[in-house]
Amino acid sequence: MSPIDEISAPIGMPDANLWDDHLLRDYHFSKEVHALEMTVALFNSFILHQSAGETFLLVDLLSHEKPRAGRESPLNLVLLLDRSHSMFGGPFMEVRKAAQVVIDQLTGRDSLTVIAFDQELKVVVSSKRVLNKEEAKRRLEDIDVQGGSTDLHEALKAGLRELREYSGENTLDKIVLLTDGRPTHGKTEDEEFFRLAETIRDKGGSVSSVGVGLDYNEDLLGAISRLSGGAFYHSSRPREIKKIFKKEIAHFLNVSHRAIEMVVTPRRWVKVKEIFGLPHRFEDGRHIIELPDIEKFTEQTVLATLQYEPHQMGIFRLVDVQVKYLHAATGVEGELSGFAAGRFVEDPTVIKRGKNPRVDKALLRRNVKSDLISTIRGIRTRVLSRDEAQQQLRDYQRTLILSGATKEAQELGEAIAQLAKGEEEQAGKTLAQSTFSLERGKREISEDETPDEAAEEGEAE
Amino acid sequence: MSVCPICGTENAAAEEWCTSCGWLPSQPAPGATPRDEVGIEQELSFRAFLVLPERGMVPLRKARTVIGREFGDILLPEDLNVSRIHLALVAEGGGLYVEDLRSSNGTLLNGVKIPPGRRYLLSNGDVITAGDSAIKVEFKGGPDEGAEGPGLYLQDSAGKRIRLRPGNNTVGRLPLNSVTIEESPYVAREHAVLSMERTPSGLFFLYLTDLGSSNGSFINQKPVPAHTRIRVHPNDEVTFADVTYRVIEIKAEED
Repeated sequence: MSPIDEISAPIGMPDANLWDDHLLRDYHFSKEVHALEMTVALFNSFILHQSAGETFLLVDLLSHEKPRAGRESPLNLVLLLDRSHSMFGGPFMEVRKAAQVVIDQLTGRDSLTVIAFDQELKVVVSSKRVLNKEEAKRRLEDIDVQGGSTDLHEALKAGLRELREYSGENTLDKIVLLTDGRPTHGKTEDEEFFRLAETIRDKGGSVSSVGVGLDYNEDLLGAISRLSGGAFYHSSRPREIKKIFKKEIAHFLNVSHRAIEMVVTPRRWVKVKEIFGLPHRFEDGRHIIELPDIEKFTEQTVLATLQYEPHQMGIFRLVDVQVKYLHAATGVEGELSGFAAGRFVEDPTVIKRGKNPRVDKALLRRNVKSDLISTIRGIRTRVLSRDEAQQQLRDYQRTLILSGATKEAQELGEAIAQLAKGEEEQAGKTLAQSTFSLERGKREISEDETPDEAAEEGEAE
Repeated sequence: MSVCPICGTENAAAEEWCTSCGWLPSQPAPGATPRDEVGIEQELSFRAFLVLPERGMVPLRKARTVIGREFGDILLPEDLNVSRIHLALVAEGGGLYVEDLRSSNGTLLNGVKIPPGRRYLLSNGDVITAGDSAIKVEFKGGPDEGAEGPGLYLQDSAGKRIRLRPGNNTVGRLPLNSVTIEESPYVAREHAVLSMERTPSGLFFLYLTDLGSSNGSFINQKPVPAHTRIRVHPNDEVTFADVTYRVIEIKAEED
């Protein structure tokens, strides 16, 4: 801002229409800085001024990182593999194969730890540099299914220990946990796991969990992943394990921005009531949200509910949003900042002009998630008949396709097929996975779907 | 510093939004009559006139007067180099300002093009040029420019006095400034602002803001930090680069 601006505050306002336009458009900030784009938007840029109320805030982070952009950060990977008795036979063979595939994807810069666990732990591989891949694979061949019970807590603790052992300035610290059962040995309280998951996140790591079969506790695994910032997968067939591992490692290797911290600061007469699905804390009037790593061409959505008190008529800035991150390709720290402003009006008829289709879609996805949870409960308790459940899922599927969540829509299709075959439990777990990813608000963006197009298409409706 | 009309928070002048409640200051305060409807006498203590080509003297009647070829309060239809909406004359807080409304060919103040969207304080006798039309500004009935009425003045070393008017008096080398200093090359083109502000009790306070000039501004030989508003008292010495003035207050004669 030039000095003259400071001394001569403009009188009156820029043309009112111009302001409306300005507010209706999303705020796009620093499009090309480190290939990360932030969009901040309100559910509606017009707000009735006389009364208190609630609205939604959307912050989208979209990575435009080129697919071939290099990676500065070596991967520091810990695999925790359940070898309790229930994994006997086929399942464990698949796990072994999957782990070997993982080893093939690593390079000499990456470090790898493999721990097999039942009620005891066995460190199978622990190497700072994955140089001798054949040796690591051979060691995997040596382990086999053993004890009867599962000490998941001890395994995670050991995972954290190993993770920190090889953790460096710039490493991507990741734990992948695979299990088919509930914790039966050692600490089994949910709270103990939640605390451990948070510790892992605080130390810069994350846990991605893979549930195999039907006996594991998807709520617990989901919570561990969510609290630590990892992903959650359900594998109905052991054959899929390899695919899931491959996919998750590919995600790690495609991370474009990490150590992402978002700070949302509401202005006076505005409060953040709720931030959906992501761990956060409140400090000095600011909400600090820790976001999972973002991969190339992935969009991370943060949705929050804002509460506001009555305002004077006019334009107000409601919240400030600041994002700090580490750019994986260069190892450079970066920062983005933006804000959401709204116009407090008297006339209720103008409200519908201010609706933002982009926020609308994000909310649709969010609502499907809540509905899914009750459907899953209905399936589990058999309150819903098979037909009713299928009908509901088809409705959700349609909504998901319309709101751009194609991956989850596909999973729902899978669950519908499982229900048709009478595999209620399988369907429940498949849906738990969809719920997880909808809650986390992460979406892979195909190259032809740019956010701008999405918005335009919404306006035309 | 500016006080938010909504929540009363004092914000630095550089803040685009109120740091507390998020109000955007560049919109009309709630309950304010649109400026177009405010009479100019509510803002100015003198009468202001424009001398228009081929039309003679026209009084300004509203706090905001828009001049354009097709739209506005004063139309210049025969000058094709005037934009359809060209400029505005805005009276506020005792001063009259000119603002270019993003016209195609721009607006000149005393021969210097002014950036669009910003306001410049006008003095008696200033010439505004829009397109090919020269518009002279004349003030009447108020304190005359040269007269030694009560008020605040800058007095140079030769004893010559320049009257300061309520509002923002810009100081600099360019002729569009309220106080133009042409004699020193060390003075910046837009060097500083002396703002004369009316307190609720009716007194006038004077503040100096250096606009980040290379050679700086001084009060009583002490350098002042840039972009900071500092109070100046009568009889203080203010220096812009190497040009020094004394602030003189002439009080109204008491009965």
